[in-house]
This record gives sequence, C-alpha cells and structure tokens, in this order.
Amino acid sequence: MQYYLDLSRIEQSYFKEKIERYCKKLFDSNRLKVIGITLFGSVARMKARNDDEHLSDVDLIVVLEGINEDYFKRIGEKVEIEGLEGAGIEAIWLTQNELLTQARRKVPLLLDAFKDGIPIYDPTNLLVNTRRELMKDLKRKGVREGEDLWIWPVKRLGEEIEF
Amino acid sequence: MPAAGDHLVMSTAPSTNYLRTRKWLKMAVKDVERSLRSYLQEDYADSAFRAQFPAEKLCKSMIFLLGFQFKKTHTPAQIIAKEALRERTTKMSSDVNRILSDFTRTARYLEEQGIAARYGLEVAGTLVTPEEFFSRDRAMELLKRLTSLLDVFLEAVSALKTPSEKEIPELAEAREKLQELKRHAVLS
Repeated sequence: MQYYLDLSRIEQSYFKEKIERYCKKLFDSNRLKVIGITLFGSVARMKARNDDEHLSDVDLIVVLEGINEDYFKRIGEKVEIEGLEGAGIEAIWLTQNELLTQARRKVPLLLDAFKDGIPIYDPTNLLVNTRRELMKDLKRKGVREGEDLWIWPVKRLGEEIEF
Repeated sequence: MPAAGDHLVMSTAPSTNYLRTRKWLKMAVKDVERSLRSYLQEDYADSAFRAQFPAEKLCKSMIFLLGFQFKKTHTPAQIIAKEALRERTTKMSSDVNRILSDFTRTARYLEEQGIAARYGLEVAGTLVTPEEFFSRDRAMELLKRLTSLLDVFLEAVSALKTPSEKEIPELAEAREKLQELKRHAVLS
C-alpha cells in the first residue's frame, strides 16, 4: 500500500526507523484502515534519549477504521497485529469517533498529545483540524498549561467546571 | 452494565471536574477496601502494595476538584505540592492551605512506599522481598496513614464547602470506609 509518513521533523534515525517499521505493520494489515497518526511525547519534543542509560518510548495516537469497538478485545487484536514491532512503542488506538469524543471531553492524555504532537500521517486533515478546534476551545475557556497540570480558571475553589 | 471500552464513546455530554473527582474517589475507596481486606487476611505485603493506590487516586481526585487536569504522572502528591497549591494560593484560605499541605505530606509517604511494596528493597546488597519487609506492624502503619489520608481528604472537601454529598455521592462511601478503617486501626 502506498502511504507517506512525514518524519521530516524527527532528527534521530533510530526513532525514525522504529516508527516506519511500526507503521508498515499497520498499513500492511488487511484488517485495518489507518486514518491518521500523531506522534507525541519525548520523541516529538526532540527530547528522546537513545543511550546507554535510557531508551525512550515512542508515543503515538493512531486513528483507525476496522478495530474492535470492545476495548478488551481490541488489546488482543493490537498485540497480535503489532507483533514485536510494538516493543518500545506506546500506541493508543482509537476510532475517529473516539478521538473526537475524547477531544470534546478534554481527556487529559489527548491534551498532552495534541499540545506537542506532530501529525505524521493525516491525509484527511482530521488530526490537524481536531487539534485546532481543541486549542481554540482551551483558549476560549482560559485554560493554561502548567508544568505538570492543565489549569482551568476558577472563581472559587471546589466549584464545578465543564471541561 | 456497559461493555469494557464503552467509556471511550459512551457519553457525548461535556465532561466536568466533578465527574472525574467522583471516579477517582470511587476507585480510591475500592482500593482502601482491598488494602484492609488483605491486612485482615494477614497478607501484609499485599495490603502494603494496595495502600499506595488510594494515595495516588485521592490525589488525582483532589487535583480535579481544584480545577486542574494532570498530565501523565505516577506521583500526583508531588504535583499538588509543587504546582497545584502555588497556582491556587490566592483562592484558598490559610486553613485550606494547611489541610491540603497535610494531605500532600501523607500521600507522599504512601507513594514513597510504592517501590518496596512492588519490587522489594535492596538492603546492604541483599534483595528484601515485600513479604519479608512488610510485617504486620508495618502494614498496620500504612493503614493508619491511609486512615489519616482519607480523613484529611474529607476535611479538605468540607473546608472548601463545595461540593456536597449530593453532588459527589462517593463522599458518603468514603466516610463509611473511613469509619471502618478507624475501627480496625483501633482494634489492632
């Protein structure tokens, strides 16, 4: 299958090759259709390490068609398709509907992923558009990013906030 | 009963900090129950192992209640101490600040026990297993700290004045569990 991964912003060839091998598995699977892939975490932030003391994981959000709706079954399916290429890759598999729902509900991991994430495969602009809407909404609500927290403005401590 | 994974798409309604506070509190109370049960069954290493989870989960519950979302972390007590208290200083009375500082200290103590409870401890070049390390007395010490933690969590919620038990029904479960912990801590 023909596809183009934009890995131009990844400097370290070790991680580049690792991502390529992993994605090939996904594109080669006749059970799945890849809709989009975002790279986030230390590799996307150019802070990844590959030395004697530490080897960073690669964090990905993968949007797919054809995955099991049942999360329990999905894990089995994921492990089977990834095979050994899944080692060192922390991939979150989502359907398009799940991605949009989680973005709308401001699921913490998605906030982090979209903040620093790099869409490496996004032919329909799903990831770019979702990120833009999410960031616009956070700005409109006055949400700030701290070191370890996302900070919602509050009038009074303990009040209810709609994410 | 929703199938596993339904949570991923189940609700299209907006999410709130109260919903997340409730979920983390509910999980914490369940872990308290499990830690106590293991203690009563004399599985002290397991009791100690499980005692750290409510600490992490109560912190996460509190982080949401204070109007934050945490990033990827396994040490939320440190995040409250390092960032959350500072961010909300102008919004809290000195009383609330003191209570939350107590809460954070106790949670950190339990968080720090996590490694020994999982993998044992290297002592003078020898690996001491959790079963060897966590005696009845040490497991009880952790349960006592857990009791204090739950107590101070509830005290913090009361000091904030909101939410009420109607808004967070899990607070009633937490109070019940606290009484149960206190009964056993006294009996030991």
